[in-house]
Amino acid sequence: MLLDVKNLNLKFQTSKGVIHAIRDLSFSIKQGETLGIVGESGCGKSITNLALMGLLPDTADLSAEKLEFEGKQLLKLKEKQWQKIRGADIAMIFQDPMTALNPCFTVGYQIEETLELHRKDLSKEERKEFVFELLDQVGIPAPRERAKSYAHELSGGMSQRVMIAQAIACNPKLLIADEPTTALDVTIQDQILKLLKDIQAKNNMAMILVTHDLGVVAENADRIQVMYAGEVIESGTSKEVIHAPKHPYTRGLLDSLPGSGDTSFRAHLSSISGMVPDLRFRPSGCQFNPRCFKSKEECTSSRPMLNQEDHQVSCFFPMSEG
Amino acid sequence: MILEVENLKKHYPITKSFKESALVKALDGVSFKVTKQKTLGIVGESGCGKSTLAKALMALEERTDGSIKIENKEVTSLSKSDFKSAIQMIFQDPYSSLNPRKKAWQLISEPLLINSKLSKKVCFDKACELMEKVGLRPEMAQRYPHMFSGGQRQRLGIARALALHPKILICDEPVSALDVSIQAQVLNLLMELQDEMGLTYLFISHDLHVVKHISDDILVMYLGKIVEYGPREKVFDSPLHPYTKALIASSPSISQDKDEHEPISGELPSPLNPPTGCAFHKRCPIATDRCAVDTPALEIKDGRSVACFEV
Repeated sequence: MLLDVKNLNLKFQTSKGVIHAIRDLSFSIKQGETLGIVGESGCGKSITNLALMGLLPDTADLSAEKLEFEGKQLLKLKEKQWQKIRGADIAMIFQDPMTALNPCFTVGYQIEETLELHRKDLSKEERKEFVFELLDQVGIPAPRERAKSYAHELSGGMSQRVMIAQAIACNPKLLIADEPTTALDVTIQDQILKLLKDIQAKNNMAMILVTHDLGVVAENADRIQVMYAGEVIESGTSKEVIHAPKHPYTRGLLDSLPGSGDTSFRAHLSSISGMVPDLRFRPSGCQFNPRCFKSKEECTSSRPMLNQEDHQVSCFFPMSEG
Repeated sequence: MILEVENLKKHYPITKSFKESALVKALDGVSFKVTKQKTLGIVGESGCGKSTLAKALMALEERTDGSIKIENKEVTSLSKSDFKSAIQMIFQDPYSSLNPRKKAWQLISEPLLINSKLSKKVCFDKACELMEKVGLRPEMAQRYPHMFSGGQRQRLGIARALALHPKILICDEPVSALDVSIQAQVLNLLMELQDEMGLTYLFISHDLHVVKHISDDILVMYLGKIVEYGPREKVFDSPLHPYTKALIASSPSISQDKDEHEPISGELPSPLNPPTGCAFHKRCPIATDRCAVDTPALEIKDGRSVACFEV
């Protein structure tokens, strides 16, 4: 196991009460594998990533039974120790490439910065050469000239390529891609996803692909885990989750996509009634029960746990096959 | 025909001191027609002129050339209030398109207060009625926008657009900022309102699945020009233009029977310096020498119009 997380809990103390943002999150990821994490806004996708990168704000209260990367405990690391891992072993691509790059420095310098920190064995000239090589690898034409550009001179797709070059500079073992293509057009999204796939295959890198777009994970992830209100509610291979979902929430999400089940013109789209719960006032029992069409008494009184099969689901009354 | 647009052009002059002035052709000769109670879906990537088209139709941007006719009347001949009750718009971002200092009923009734001589009391009642219509409880009328969720805010935006009983509603990416489950609710609402009030929609979106679901006709744009325009079944099920094909292939889908494909190369060219000939030729897999020289015109082929030499 490259990354092994067991019963991760994340709480925030706020003036309006305690927010239990992540509750008993367990998952693992193997070398070379792509794990897709899907869920609606506010389900805890992004904060999970920040926890894995050691980028949580000071107000966060993180606890876990296990949070191991290559057998190394990440839980109680000091900032200095994090700096050695971050960017070198675990790297991240952020959602909005236009704002994630520093507007004051050339993109070449920003990539070099990562190398300067983690590749002490390279001389200044070697680093420069390596930057050009990286830019070339991510498909940027005329890398020598482009390295001198500033972020505002590049298009969204190009900026995202620079972000990827920055992330893969030190050949990380795990790449976290947080909505890497949400801000991009479909044809550019297609190019970027293909690029990520190629790099992943070449470097045998593991990838966490976080997105709200079910189509993107269906096409790109090996395994998918669905999150709701800070919990994993379903996890399995992408085929299982997309084509034979067991949790009513996953089913509901898939059905509400236009062009899924009933593709006839102007057909009424099924939707999930209600809204995501306020994490300060979580419902008792299953978090999804107020919106679930299958909800029974048991669902409000006790909390379902992920079962231990290959295709995991946390539901008392999972959907039957098909 | 409720809406007829002919040869619509919007050019922005770019003037910089000491530099040659340039011309950005955001819209370059766009023509289409929409029948009453039908939906025209407009797709294309960012920078292709979708939003400029919406603004030009709403007269938020003065058009450079071309004619817009609503029910066979040129819009310039309509009075201001007639024009406003003919065409209204829903905006993309429900977070920035509502004034945070106004209450829900004030937001909804603002078009009424401006365009009619109704008293405040009547306006309030009308606002409550509209809220009910879009699926919001009238008790919420005294709330401010921040007290609503994203989906509810978009409903407020819809209620506001409906206040003057428009015939045509321009929806500029109305569901892009919403989560999937909420997106379905808003799309359902739009479809119900269309049947109930006989509305005509111009539906702008980059999400092909959404457009395919609710549009009768589809208009595909690339760099200010129409590349393919025709009925939904034709454009989606048997696309002819290589750009339409690429868009459909690259749109992520959950269906099992999607084929493997190669992404098309390159990016949208700069509108300041568009390529000669067909604007798509540099990214096109089937481009020939002719495409770099001549600009293809829209021609009718197999039940739809398409602008390409090679089909």
